[in-house]
Amino acid sequence: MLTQSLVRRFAVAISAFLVTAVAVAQLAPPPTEDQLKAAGATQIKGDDLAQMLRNQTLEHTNLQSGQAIFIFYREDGRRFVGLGSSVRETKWWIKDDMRCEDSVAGRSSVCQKIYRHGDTLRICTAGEAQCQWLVEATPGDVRKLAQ
Amino acid sequence: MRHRRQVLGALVGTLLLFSGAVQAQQASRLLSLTLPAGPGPHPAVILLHGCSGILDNQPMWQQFLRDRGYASANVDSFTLRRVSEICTDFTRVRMPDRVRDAYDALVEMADRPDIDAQRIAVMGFSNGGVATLAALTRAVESQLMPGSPRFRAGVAVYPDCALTSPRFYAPILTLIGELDDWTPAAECVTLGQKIAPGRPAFTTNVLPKAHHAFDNLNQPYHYDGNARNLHKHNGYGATVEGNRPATELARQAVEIFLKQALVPAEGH
Repeated sequence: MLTQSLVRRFAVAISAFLVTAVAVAQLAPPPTEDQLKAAGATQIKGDDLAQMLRNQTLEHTNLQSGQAIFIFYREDGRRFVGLGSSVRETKWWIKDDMRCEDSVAGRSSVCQKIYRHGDTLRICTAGEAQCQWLVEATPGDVRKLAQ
Repeated sequence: MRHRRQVLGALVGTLLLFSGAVQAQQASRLLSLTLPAGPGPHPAVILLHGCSGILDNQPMWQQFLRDRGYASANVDSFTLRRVSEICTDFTRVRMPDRVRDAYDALVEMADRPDIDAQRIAVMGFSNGGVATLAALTRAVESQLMPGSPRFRAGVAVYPDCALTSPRFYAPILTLIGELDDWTPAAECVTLGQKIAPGRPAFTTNVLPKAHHAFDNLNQPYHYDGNARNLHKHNGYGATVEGNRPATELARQAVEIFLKQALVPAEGH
């Protein structure tokens, strides 16, 4: 009798949990680094990484926040972040096959791996579970951010 | 007998685990839910706080909205994450999390029988204003699960318009002070100019002589040197000040905007 009652309560609790979990899962999560690798994405490393950054403008798009940011990576280690009509300058460098840079939004620096998955480039930030940013590289300071 | 006891123990353990999970999951996203008089279903507005958390301006706006027939509720993006403010470092709570919070609140609000699920707007202040813009981008809409509810409109109060893609799926009103040195009005004017013809309207009202946080009426003039400011050369410092005439203009604009944007759908 007691067991039957517990089983019933267990079923109710499971159902409630599933209903609630479904109710809050509205936005598709971006892939994790493991998911990207499992899907065949390869990390851009070494000279390839340097080449895709030096004197390139990278358009960053975040599908989870609708943010769109252009950044010019000058080969002297300075990067120029387009913030609407203004530009902020911070430093960037490469360490352990990751792109590292001083943040414009916080007080810290951040290092990121860049993966190529077909035609898509995706950024995975060290210490974050998901790879939220998509990037597209164009040669030169096409948006005149450093001028 | 021993086996039965083990099964029972496992069952009780799992039940407790899931009960805890259910309780955690069921914590409401809608704080200080305020309903207007009458049975409803009511149109509603979900309020997103700025980088200091929920301040005095939000109860003021809730009363204003209730008096005009709108339900409203606050969404707290900080307490669950054990964060008290992000004005000195915006990365403590990232924008995707704030957008997710807004949509979780939308689902909960839309599920209520006393709310008109087709007439829910989002209204955010400063960092919450950025979250408002973000939530209404086509990029974020593209990530919504099939059948997920959408916001019908957005009001972004002194948001930073510099970082958002200019492709929105719903009309937006931005309200921003002429003297705002934290989130310059010019960025919102420029963003509005990038909206493609035929897309939902993006309107910016620049409020004369007003600084950032103009609707915090008890806020005296104050320069905060520690505030992270993407638009200052050294990256820090911003001015805030309550301003009653600007707030009154903002209230008038919000009333007109919501009346138009949340008009009942045909056949409703």
